[in-house]
Amino acid sequence: MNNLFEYSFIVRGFEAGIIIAIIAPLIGIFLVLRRYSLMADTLAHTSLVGVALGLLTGLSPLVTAVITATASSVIIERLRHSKRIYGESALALFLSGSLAIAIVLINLANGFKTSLFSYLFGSIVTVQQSDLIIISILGVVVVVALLSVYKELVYISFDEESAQVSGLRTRLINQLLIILAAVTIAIAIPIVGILLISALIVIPVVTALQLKKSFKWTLVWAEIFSVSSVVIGIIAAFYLHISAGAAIILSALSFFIVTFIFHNRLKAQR
Amino acid sequence: MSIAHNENLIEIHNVSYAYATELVLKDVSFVVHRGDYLGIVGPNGGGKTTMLKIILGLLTPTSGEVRVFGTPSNRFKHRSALGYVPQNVAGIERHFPATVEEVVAMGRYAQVGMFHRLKKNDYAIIERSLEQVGMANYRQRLIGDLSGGQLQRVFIARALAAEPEVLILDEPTVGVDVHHQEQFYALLRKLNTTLDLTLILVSHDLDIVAKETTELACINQTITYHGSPAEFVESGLVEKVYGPTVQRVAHHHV
Repeated sequence: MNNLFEYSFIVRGFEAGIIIAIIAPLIGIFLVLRRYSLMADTLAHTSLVGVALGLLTGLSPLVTAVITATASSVIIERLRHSKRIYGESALALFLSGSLAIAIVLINLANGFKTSLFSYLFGSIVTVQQSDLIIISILGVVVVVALLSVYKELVYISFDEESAQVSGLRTRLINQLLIILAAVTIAIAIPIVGILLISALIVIPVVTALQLKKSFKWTLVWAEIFSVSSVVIGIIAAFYLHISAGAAIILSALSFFIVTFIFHNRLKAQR
Repeated sequence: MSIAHNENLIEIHNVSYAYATELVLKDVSFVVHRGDYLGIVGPNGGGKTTMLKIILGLLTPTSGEVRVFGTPSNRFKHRSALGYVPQNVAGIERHFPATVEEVVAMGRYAQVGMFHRLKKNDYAIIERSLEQVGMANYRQRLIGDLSGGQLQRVFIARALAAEPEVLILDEPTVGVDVHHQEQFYALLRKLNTTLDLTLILVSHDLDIVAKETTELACINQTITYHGSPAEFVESGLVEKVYGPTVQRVAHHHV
């Protein structure tokens, strides 16, 4: 068996993957608790427009994905806040709309089928050295920004009206959360892929919620599940020659299934 | 007779509010003084909740003026002076992963400010708030494991943790059984008399409000009564506002 750390691409894959694994539950816990899971999927699809634009123009698809996802997140939040359309309809508009735009762009270019495939499903070989630098920098930005409004986000997720009455700037913080979600999703795409990123954001959090802990410990467990899934997934992808994104999500799903069964068993015994 | 309190904490002057074209409040005026225990009653759809949201700054009146601690409401910055206890069950996710202590801590967040962590002093205030509502022994409990009455005490503790001067409660005992309701109102009386906290209690439950509060305002689009609760019951206005078939059966506990 080859030693997987002999290859520089796999080391980059691990580094990028672990950064993503740490941020995903931080964003995910707030999206899940606010019934906003669909947001992750929508932002992933808007990133696809960016990826297609990047591949068309020769710019870094990672950078263009960050731009389109962030821009869409701002517009979605505005639409939702204006209450002129239902929040969920705004998501549906963007989800299918951006997929359509991306497909047209891909049709026009008609030449990047292989690399597109790795953006859709994630790959450990996609991560370039320059990508790793971008992922590291944006990763740090997201973590610092999230931690600085962490307690406000907890309050708003629990009881938005009371949070607003107490004097918290709920609209600003909501907007910030969505922008940070967009950035996280865009930088996660090279590893996990557009079609699977929302699963990495949602599943470890849902698994941790099964344990019925305090908010703090729910987040800690979500981090443990997330990082473990990414590490196991990348190792499996290397040795079994399968897609990294799929392998990561399958390990996350395994954690969920085991937790779900064991937790219900324990409850039944009590 | 109500106690004479002179300092005006909340002043409502000729406030009207319309959702689209439907007029919900019309020329409502009243004053809340320091130390008052004001009950706001009125039929469903009469504008109680709208009035509450205007006081809290969640809605801006279509016309008229609201002054909070002498400052026009839209320029009032010291939001923590108004403690808010929302309706019990409605809107609160019982599966939310949070302990009693984590929920009460939320009451400190606005004071502590963005980018800052809670300090020793904040934890002392959280502890004191938990003791004031008799929930100190439950601090590590998950909120999903509490009864309706206990959860409501936790929400009061959260509001108290912001060290408010006025506590505003919206239908606080919906979904709480009669026995715990009595404990709950005893707690409110204690907060009003021993901490000199000003209370505004919005409720559809006329019997409770008439029994517990020192002032009563009846809102049915306009203010139809403002004064002592006992006189309101005697005045016969009850039937006029609620209709002759007023539902007062629920609280005739023997």
